[in-house]
Amino acid sequence: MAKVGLISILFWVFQLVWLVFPTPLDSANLTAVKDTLSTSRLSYYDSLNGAHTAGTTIIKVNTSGMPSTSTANLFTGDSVLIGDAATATTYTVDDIIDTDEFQITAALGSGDNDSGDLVIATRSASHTLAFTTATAIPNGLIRVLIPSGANGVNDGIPNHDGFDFNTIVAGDLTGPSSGGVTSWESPTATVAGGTGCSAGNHCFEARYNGTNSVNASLTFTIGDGGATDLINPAAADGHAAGTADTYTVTVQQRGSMTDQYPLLDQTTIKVAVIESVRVTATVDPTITFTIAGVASTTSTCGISTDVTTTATAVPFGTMALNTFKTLAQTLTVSTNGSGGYAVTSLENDQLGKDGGTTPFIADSTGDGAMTHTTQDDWNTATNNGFGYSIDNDDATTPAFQYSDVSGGSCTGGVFCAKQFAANADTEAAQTIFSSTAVANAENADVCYRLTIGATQAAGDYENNITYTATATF
Amino acid sequence: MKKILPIKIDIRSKILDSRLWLILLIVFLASGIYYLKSVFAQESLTITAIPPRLELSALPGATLQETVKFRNDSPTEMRVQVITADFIVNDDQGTPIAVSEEVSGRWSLAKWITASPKNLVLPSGQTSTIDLVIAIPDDALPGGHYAMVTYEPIPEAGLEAGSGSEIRPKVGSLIYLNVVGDVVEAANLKSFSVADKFANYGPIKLSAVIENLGDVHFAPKGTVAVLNIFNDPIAEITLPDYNIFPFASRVYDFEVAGKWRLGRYKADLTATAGTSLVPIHGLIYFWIIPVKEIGLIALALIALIALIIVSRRKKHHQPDELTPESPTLTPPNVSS
Repeated sequence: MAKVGLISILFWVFQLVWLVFPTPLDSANLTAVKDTLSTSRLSYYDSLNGAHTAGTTIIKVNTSGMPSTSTANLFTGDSVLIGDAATATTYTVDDIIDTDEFQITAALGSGDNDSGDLVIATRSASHTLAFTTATAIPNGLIRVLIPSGANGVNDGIPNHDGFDFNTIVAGDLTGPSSGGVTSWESPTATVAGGTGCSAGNHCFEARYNGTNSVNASLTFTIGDGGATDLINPAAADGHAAGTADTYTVTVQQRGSMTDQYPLLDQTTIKVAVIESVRVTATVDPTITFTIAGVASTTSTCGISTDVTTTATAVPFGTMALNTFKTLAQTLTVSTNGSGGYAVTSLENDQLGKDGGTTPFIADSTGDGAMTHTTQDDWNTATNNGFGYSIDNDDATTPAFQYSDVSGGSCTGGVFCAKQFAANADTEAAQTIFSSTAVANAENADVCYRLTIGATQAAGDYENNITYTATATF
Repeated sequence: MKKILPIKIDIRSKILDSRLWLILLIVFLASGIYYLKSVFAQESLTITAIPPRLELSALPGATLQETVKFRNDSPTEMRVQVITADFIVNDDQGTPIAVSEEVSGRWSLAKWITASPKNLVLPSGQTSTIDLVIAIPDDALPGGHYAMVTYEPIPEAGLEAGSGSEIRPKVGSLIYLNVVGDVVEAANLKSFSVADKFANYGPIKLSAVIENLGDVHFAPKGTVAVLNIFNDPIAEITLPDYNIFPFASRVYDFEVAGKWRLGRYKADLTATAGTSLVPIHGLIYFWIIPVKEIGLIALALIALIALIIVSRRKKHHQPDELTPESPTLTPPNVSS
């Protein structure tokens, strides 16, 4: 009994010593592990809802029973494979019509229009894994495991439960470099279920010679960033639009070949794939017209203006005899209409006393030949009357300009002017400026000029001038 | 009395107070009126019509309901009048001109349109929708009918004392209605010309005037192909997408780019117009000859030929001088 008690005591002493001084562990977690996908967009996988007419460009997809259940995550310009496995053809998405219909740029082929034919848009992504070693391990390897799903893991078609291998080869990988080792061997890629790679995960390995440093920051890139990348999964079973599907990626550091590459350090992380958000906006076709007053002493039409105008009034005020008064306004047009715009002017009548018809200040004939359709120089203040000129800023096509030395009867280049067309005289409205293309704040100054003679009856003379901005026909 | 006096003073002060309040009220109202009057005397006024054009098609007897919009982009509230008027195009630039029904004649549309509301009061930055009910009579003439819906701010105050002009800006949407039925579609290429038939250099300016002789507007589609003397294409210019009003014309200006060219060129305008694809065709020829440069080259060639001739003549005379017997060429030590 004493012996049994002694043995029992020794056993418990050893147990206590073992507990107090445990054998040091030689495995740990890799730290700072992350997998950056070049795109986290879900692939699209749906099928035709009913047989389609060959030649149609409108595609209707099923809204249940497939990984994708709407046109969400399809975008204008996407390449989309439509048809059965044997004859599927690649088309381009032209427009998304609604939640279950979209338009393609070319007519649907006769072999691609059966009910249930697949509608697939693949989204491939390179994976850039970054991590930091925790342990110095001689002659080991780095292994990355990326979930593959169960079926069709290397057929170039998106899976609903993992990433398709997409026939990646070693040349599409960029293994780690440096990290304190003597040398890195070329990385390898093995499809799930291939030699040395269990089903369920694709395996990517980079072996090294020598011993790595502890806390070495390493990067392992899977995919060439172009045509040969892993294919992102389609929506998982029970996927809710706008909610990410997550997959577990494992990064391992294993021991040397002589020990059969034992697993030493390992970290698992999650990657998420989700639909892209379709952002839409509608821009109305518009035409915008601005009319603005011009302050006195502003330089325009080759003169300094005499009185400040507002948007709705050109107040000449009290006139001196045989003396020009020139006032101005700025007219501006913007339009996104492809046909451009035209601004026309029309006065109700000539300037009438108190707004009446007689007496009135006649529209000037300028220095001789000015009418509402023919411009003429107007530099002599004793040539009384009312008229206007144009100082173009950036309007595409002004009807004429104050500085013209040709066109109509203008030769002087000082103040080439016209009468306003008068509605009372059944004259047609005249163009001030126009364009045949879209316009961004194109503007010109209209300069109003008035001079009166000694016989003009005293009083206030008024008329109104209408500017109309519309699209060109 | 001692008690009454303070009461009298109190009444007077109340009267004074009420007068003071009245004066203040008048001043306040006057300033308000002044403010209202000055609101419209703003430095700028910005108005927007949406859309610039509205193209419709319907059978006689149909009633259409459409909407257009107006936006007040000015900094203050605005009262706006909605005006519907016919328009025609009487120039070759496509400028719509509002006219009365008597002028628009068979192209009239305004009388069929009821716009609602006809007056708007719109705060700054706000957009208002205007409903258009277009009731097409059963006996409406097939073809194009045209109107513009314009928006004109109503001034709160007229001109101040003195002479001047009241300015009324308007912006509007053009409405094109094609009444479906038997229509004539016809087009005429009124002119197809080149600015300079014999030019020294490019670029070359071409101009075409296409006339619509049909019942409805159209926008011709086509190209101007420019070919050199070997019929090799040197440029192809697509016709701009211009609408042409019935019985109006439209000018198309083109430019053939490139300065250095030589020879005879052909410009071939081929287009179609309307739903019946009325053919439009024009052909012109022009020359580009850089006369100055060719003259210089010719002069240089003449000079070169002259030089060659002169040098040959010199060579022709030289053998007599270069004969071995010539004493001038005999080396001094040959005889030894």
